[in-house]
Amino acid sequence: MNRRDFLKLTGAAAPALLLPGVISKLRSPRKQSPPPNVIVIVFDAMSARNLSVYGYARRTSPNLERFAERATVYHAHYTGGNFTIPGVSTLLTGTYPWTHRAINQSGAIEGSIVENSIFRAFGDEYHRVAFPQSVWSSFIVTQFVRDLDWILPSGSFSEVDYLLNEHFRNDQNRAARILDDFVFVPNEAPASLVFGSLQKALYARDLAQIDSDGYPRGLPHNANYPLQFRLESLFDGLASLLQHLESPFITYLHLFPPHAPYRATEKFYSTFVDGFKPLRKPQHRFADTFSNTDLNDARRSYDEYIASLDWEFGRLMDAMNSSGIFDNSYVVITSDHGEMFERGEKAHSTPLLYDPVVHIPLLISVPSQISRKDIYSPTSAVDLLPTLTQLTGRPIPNWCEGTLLPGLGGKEGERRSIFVVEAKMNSAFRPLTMATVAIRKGNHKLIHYTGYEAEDSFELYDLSEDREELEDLYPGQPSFANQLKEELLESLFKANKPYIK
Amino acid sequence: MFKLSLFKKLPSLEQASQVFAVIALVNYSWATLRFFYRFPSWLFYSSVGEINVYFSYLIVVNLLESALLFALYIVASLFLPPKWFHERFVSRSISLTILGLGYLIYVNYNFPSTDSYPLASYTRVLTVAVLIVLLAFLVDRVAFIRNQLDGFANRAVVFLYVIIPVSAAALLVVLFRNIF
Repeated sequence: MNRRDFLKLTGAAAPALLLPGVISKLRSPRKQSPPPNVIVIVFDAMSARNLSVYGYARRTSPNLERFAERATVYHAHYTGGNFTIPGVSTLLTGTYPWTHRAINQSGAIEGSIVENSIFRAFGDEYHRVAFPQSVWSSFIVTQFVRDLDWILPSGSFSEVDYLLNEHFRNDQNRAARILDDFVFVPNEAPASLVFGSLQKALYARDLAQIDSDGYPRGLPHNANYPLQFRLESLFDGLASLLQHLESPFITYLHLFPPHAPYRATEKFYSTFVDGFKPLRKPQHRFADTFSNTDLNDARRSYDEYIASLDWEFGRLMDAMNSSGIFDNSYVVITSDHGEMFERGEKAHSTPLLYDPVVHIPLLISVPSQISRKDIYSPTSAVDLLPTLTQLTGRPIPNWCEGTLLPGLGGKEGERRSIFVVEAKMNSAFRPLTMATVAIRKGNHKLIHYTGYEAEDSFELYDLSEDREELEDLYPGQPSFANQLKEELLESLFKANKPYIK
Repeated sequence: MFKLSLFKKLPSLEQASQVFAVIALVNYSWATLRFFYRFPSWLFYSSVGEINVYFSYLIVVNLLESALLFALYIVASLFLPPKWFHERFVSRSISLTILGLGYLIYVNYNFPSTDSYPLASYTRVLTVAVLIVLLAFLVDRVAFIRNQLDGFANRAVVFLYVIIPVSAAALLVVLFRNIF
């Protein structure tokens, strides 16, 4: 941590210390054995399908493999939606997108659901801290401001930061949505001619002058917002933060990498020029039309970025190890959605719900865990909230739509249904009529496309036999296809019912 | 004596309102255009009340930048020789506003990305600024154009009847949300 980062951290910490909740935490006498801490680390857009810890051909995640040796590894874990807004909202509220209604790009959680977050469930006995480095996640996290003791600004530990919402502490959510996402947005014409142009000029000048040494493709940054950072500074900052938080704490750390643009460090740049040929898949009618060469190049950059990130995560893990954080903390590693490089589609702005874009990592280390456990039952991001509340001795909130994760209170092998919902082109105030919904039950996954074409359509895959989702079983109409279809349509109807006038 | 001469170099209320009206008209029109560009996507997930809050923030930013530009013209009027600015306060301020903000509109329409943003270069900014000032002073020397600018400013004042109450309401909304 350099002097600048330290000043940023202390600058951000000072106002937080003025909050009554934090003061009471500091004044209260230290208990002999405080309840365990909870650390949730979310890597934005990290697909389980590109991680060697889940069997990917390229060795992208040796440090996650190391972490897995002391964790429960979930092999069929699914996000609630295929981009940040629904993904984060599902994780933090324990409800599916058709319930929390954060379904649009820059969308928001429905008012009554805002009361139902993981932070509210933990209560003020815990010091509740969030670091939404991903600006999109800050749109959601700042909705929970009343249940958080401290929200670190998205620009913490950054090299360049022109975000403004952190200066509007009483109205941070609206400031983020209007100032950072509209008035001063750098990759569009700003709505403010004078200040917007000035900010854009200063940011562009900084980009031209910034030292990107060690990053051959340029520094990691969020393409839509004026923020540039170095992985090493980010992880140094996180290590310092975790060591200084007052126990017991729950902290939600939503890191922007490995989201595009993929900016590998020099150490991993060109690591995967290895002749690896991913399976070619047919063009999908709803997908973009990127060529296979483009997709393979992007996949390689993505894999190299993951490897860079994993290396930094290894350093963080070592720091946490030496400071004893693992002894009294639940450490959760997961993502908000995946990323895909197939069927003509690149990244995750898509109506498609194939596994690369919805199958995300989930690894949970419980305090003092020393051996690995593997869980193969399908699980969902809605399960994290009930599991963590239960593990820390809290009742499971009745509004939660998830169940306990197998291996941490739940049973493996139960045939339950889990859902993924994509509806970014649908109004949050109306029934979902233009959407993609997937149901995963046992080995089967049924995908339902509605509203895109004159007639709704379905695809069915047996993931135990066909992991790559190449053989659509739906046209053959096996008996379980109808069962899954009925269940999916009934669940969708139930979710839509409150919105049908 | 010095104070008195400075006071005399202030524009009249009529001139000031004409100039402010033109600045605000350009700024607010651009912002409203951008607002309606984004409006359909907000309708997907924001209530009317929330969209009002978004609009309030936008208007407050416009108000502040309009006030800043106006203040620059006042400073120029106070400290430049009267023949340069004070005596032609309305036409020179307006030509500077239209040329300057017009250039910003051109740049932001044609260079949406930060990668090749022309204003990132000090040299270019300085060159453009000098050209705009020169052009504004030259344009002003043509009586026909000067009369047109004065006439436009005179008619633009009517927009203040909309802009001032809307800005005051927006300012109240933003202050209320950030103080309470």
